[in-house]
Amino acid sequence: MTSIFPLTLSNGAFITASLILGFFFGFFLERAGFSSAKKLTAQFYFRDWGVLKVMFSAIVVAMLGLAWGSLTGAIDMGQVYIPDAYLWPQILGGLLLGSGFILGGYCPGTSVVAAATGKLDGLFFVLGIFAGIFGYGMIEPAIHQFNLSGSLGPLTLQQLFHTSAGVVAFCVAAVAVGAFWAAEQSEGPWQLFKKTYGRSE
Amino acid sequence: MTTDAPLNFEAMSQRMIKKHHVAIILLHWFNAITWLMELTTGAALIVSPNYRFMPVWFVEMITEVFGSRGNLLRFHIAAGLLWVTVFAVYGIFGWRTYLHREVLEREVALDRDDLQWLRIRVLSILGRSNEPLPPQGVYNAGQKMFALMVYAMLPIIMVTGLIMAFHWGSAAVVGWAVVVHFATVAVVVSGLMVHVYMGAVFPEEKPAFFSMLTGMVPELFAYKHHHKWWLEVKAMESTPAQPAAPTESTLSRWLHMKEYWPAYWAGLGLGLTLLATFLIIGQGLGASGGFTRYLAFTLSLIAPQYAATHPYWGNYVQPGQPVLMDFLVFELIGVVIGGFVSGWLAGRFKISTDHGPRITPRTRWALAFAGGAISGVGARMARGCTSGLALSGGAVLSAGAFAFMLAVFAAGFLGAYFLRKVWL
Repeated sequence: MTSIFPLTLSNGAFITASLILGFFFGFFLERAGFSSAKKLTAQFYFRDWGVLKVMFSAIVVAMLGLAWGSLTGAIDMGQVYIPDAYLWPQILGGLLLGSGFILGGYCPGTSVVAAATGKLDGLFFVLGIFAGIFGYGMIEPAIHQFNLSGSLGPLTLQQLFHTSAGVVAFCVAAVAVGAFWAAEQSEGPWQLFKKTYGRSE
Repeated sequence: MTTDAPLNFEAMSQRMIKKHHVAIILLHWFNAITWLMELTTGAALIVSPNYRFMPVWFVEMITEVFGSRGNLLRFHIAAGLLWVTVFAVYGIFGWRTYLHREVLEREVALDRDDLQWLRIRVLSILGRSNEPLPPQGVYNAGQKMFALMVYAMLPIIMVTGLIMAFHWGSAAVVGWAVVVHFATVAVVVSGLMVHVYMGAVFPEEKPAFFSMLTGMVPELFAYKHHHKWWLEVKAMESTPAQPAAPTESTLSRWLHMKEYWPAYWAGLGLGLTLLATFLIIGQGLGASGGFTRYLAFTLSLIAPQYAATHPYWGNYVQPGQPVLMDFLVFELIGVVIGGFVSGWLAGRFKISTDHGPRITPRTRWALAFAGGAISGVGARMARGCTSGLALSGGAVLSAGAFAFMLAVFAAGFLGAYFLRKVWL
């Protein structure tokens, strides 16, 4: 059975598709409220679970779609890009990105949407990213060895745990639903607390 | 029953009242089509001489249609998983609306009238009784019995199906799952025969069948067959009119909504966009990779020789390959437009600065710049940001993506403590 997806596109179709997909990406990020640094950072103060809820529901939807498509043979997962794992730089990079997130209020994608809706702090964050990436590119040769450490290739969770993609997908979906439930539980008490003791802004 | 005016049966047979929500109608037909496919493929999968109940020609014909027994099995599992997913979503998001106690008591539980109805109905079919049937609620006792049976069997069919599909447990467990799967389906099919007969063939129930297409039933049908429900509808109609419903279309309302969308709806939109990106482009969404290409491109304009030979930028500046010919480069332009359009439609586009109450906008800008710079370094070191690695890598179950995600949240929660004066 030959797979239909991923598609092979001409340059013109590729550019058009990229623009349209980007449009919807930006649109839904803004609709989720991710153009607001205050809403995004409220996640880290346990006051708004939007980041977790949006991110995990998106992951679960795309994951189940891919799992289903690959099972029916519509998608050739061999042609879908799976990031290479470099354990140590990815953990350190994650710690840096998380620190930048709580300091600057955004992550790279959301800062673009913030700037697009007129947020000056979003614009400064975007400028900061350019500066950071430029600086990183310049010093990268010096830390190149570290950057390749913990290399595991395009490792997936199913390979790591020696099980099938279906089982992992099922577990991730179950964990996500559990996290949603916990998030819903924790938002209630906070609203009550804020109503009782919160200062008006 | 007390009525002020005598009932006009002619008018009541013309007037339609609403019985089913469109979501229920769609779910019903999705369920019906899936059951038809699953029963057909499932029956053709049973080839063991001890259990096979369909003629050999049927098994061979269906297998032929799908090419091989392996394909047939894959189709059966794929359709089954889709079905489980749809019902799981319905269960998780709809339980407050459809599955709480009050609704179940009204629509599924049998009351005294229902038991009486069952007794008289059976006797009258056997020609042993001509007592009048007791009044029925929104569903009659027969329908309720079928619902009860389905509610009891569905979880068993789903769990045994999953056990078989993924070989959860030992050979003995899977073996038993096959038997139980088959037996529970057989129970549902016995009820399904009555259900389909009543819906599609039995003349008296014709309006019930059409109500599953249009959502409406004639008032006279409700009066005769679901009298208690008819009384409820009448009582509701006689209460003072509700304030006029908004005339705006649902789409327009969602586009211009002042509030942010509920997280799960935005997440669904984002997830479908991500899925479409994998299908069309073959990679996921991202952001920081696009920034890197813009920088590499600028550098290649200013100092072409330097950029092409630099150990880092050289990866992006290669002869014969335009630096900007990359998905993320064009996607980012789309993100700017999409973010702007969404903000504009909701009335959220405003030149402003989002800052905590204890700091000035100027401080906020400096912190945003610093945060952006640190994020930029982190994203390149990890080879992706929250979108490119955590979101897109998470959907393809990349181990690196989950390690990265944990690190982001760990640093975020820890940093939040030290930076509380910035935000709170």
